[in-house]
Amino acid sequence: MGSVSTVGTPGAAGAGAPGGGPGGRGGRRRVRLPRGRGLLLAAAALVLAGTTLVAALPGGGAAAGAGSAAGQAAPAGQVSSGDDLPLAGPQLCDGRPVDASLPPARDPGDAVAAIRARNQLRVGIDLNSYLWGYREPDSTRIVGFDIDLVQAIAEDLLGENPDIVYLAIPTAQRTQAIQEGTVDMVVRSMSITCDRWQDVAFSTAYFETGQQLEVPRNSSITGFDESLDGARVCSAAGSTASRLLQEQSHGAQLITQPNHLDCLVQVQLGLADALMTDTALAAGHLAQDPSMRLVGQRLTDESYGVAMNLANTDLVAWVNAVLEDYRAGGEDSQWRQSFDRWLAPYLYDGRRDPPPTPPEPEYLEGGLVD
Amino acid sequence: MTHSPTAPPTSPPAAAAATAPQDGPPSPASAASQEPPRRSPWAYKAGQLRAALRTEPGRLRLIGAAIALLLLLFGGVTVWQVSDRTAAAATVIDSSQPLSTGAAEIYRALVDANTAAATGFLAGANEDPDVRQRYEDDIDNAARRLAAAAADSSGSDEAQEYITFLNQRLPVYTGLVEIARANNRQGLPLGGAYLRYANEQMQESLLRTADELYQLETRRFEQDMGEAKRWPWVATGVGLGTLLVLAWAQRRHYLRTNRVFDPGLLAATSAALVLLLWLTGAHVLARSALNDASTGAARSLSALNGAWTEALKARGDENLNLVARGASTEFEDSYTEHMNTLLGPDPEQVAGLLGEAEELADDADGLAPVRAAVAATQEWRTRHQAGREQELAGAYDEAVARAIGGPHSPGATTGQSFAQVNASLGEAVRHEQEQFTAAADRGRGRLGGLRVGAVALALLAVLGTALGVGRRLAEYR
Repeated sequence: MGSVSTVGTPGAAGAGAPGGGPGGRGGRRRVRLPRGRGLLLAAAALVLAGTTLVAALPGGGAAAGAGSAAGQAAPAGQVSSGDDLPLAGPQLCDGRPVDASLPPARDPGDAVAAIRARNQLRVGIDLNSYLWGYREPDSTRIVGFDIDLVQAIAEDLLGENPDIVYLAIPTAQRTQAIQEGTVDMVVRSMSITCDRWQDVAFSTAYFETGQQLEVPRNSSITGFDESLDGARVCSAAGSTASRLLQEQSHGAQLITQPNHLDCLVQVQLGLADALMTDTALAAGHLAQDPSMRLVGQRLTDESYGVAMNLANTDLVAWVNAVLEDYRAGGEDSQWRQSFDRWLAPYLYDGRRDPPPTPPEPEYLEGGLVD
Repeated sequence: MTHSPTAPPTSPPAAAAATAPQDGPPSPASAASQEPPRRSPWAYKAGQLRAALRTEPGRLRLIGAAIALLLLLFGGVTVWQVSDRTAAAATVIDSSQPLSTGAAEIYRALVDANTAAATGFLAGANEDPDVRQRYEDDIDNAARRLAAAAADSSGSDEAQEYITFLNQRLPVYTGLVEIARANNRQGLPLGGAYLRYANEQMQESLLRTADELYQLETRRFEQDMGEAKRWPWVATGVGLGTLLVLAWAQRRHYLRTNRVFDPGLLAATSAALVLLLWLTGAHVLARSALNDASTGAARSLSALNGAWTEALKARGDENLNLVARGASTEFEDSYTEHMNTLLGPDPEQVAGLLGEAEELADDADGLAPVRAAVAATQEWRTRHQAGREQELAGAYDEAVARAIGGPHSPGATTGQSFAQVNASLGEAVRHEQEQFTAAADRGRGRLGGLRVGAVALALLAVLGTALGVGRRLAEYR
């Protein structure tokens, strides 16, 4: 499907735009509703933003009415800090939705040409994220939901049996690796935030998630409320969860660990009573320890995106085009197949939840940076 | 008091009169004599003494008694001080140095176990039985040494506290390693998180305590060593004083009788002189031997033990870095730090603890294993660099193969280099330990016999004094 590239040629225009310039963006930027098919998408997006962003993906079987999730998850006084905390509801960076990206286009520019000349795609991933990116037991294959997407992008760029180099990148070095060109892109369950937009460019969202509490099966904790009083709650240092808990602890004692998986260790060893992380990573926890469960409402709305260099607008538009195809096809979409393979057992309860659908893309008018 | 009181029973008023007019502050002597009704035995004795001093035989008797007392004192002080030092040397050899070495070995066994756990984890289901065995042996070894250290009654309360703590935490650590292993076998990344946690417990709780135990035992060892090396000032002082008194007595004798030699006193002088020379000579030699032990072998041992630990830690970090699968650079940074401590930051030069150990090695047998360790460490560093480059290029399996071998192994792994470093350092430590024990034994041996000799020589000298003075006294009968 190479016919999606209908909206101008932002790849060529954006290639001239220098990467960086963190101060001067936002003035001209508006969300433009794409024509034709875009109108339908936009209508859907508006409905979503207005009512049920959360409904796009059922949260860990515990997602009751999505509307109530959005309502409850934004307690009074917390929405104002939305620039740091991606709380429920549409989040804007300088007036544009945080997960809006360049319109899809397959117009090879410098970046795509370089990848094709090399005939190799270098991708920063996580090798420790169960279900998302990890090494299959007793084999050397790297698999997961993120990896499926990488595979699709690489095949689209390089053809059948593409040469992909997977580089395990520490969380703290993701943006650096992109800026220095060590990797072409990072596909590593990376949330799209306004802060990160300063340093890297994101594709449209490919997964929606949010922070939620995870507890052992027999726990008396019922959610992000008074039941936390006196409990020890673990979160990864510097994470959204950790900031959420610092802002409103509900009487819980906070424990920070370097990594969300370290928190699962703490809970299993009885050193913590609960942990908070996003539902996507929590799915990996539940898969590794079936005695854990998610409780309460999802507290934030976050989207995962493919991160790339701000200057590589051709690549960003290309990846967005790949994502269009990846999401298309309803129940038979590649996205849905990957979801069913990796995440459905842990994040989808067919009896209660609406069928899982990929997030609707939002597109920008004009380049990424002014 | 220039006058001497006459017969004590009749003279209290005289004594009182002699002291009272002086009108000074009341002295104890005057206080005693101002109690006319009764006379203390001391005063009576003092009177006798004064009476004796008026006659030459009396004076001779007094001189003889004083010399004999000094000689006995010299002998006694010598026995006392030499006993102290011999005991300190024995404590060093039999207790405090082994305790310090034992603490170092507990520490090393723990580090080794942690390293073996990481190595085995890295191999996952393909774990080499040898690696598993090594881990088991290390834990066994640490537990056995802890039990031995706990049973050692010479250990202080403080040491016992550390040992109890280690005994409590060791099973917790092994439990964590087993959880890590079980998860890892199922291919769950959670296993890696458990291994990281186990490593953290090892570094921050077990090893920290083991290090404190080692520092404590080493301080005690150094203290005992200092005791053993301390110069016996009192004995030498008394000895010199005795010789001076003997010389004075013989000069007085010469001036009074014109006889040059009194054979008895001469024999006493010779015996005292021999004892003094023996005392000083033995201590000079013992101190030199103990210095060999404490500044030679013990310093080498300290550098080698340090190097060994650093090598083990660097190896552990190297493997943990691969276990972390790029989750952070923490372990690679720690590896670099340990490698730099081990060999110095400049790959072209030999510095760090191994450089220090090389400088301290004072014989060919000691130098050879250190040189071998240096060469193997340099090779290790080069191989690690190659492996790290592969890891950074995304060739994870090749990087693992470079570390622990396996199907993709290039044939020359960092594991092999490390095994050589490990073996060479083990040999070097054994050699220096032998050197230490030999030197310390030598030092202790040089004080041997001195106690018996001191008693014999002092008695001999007393006998000579008695004979010499007795012969002169006989002339007055």
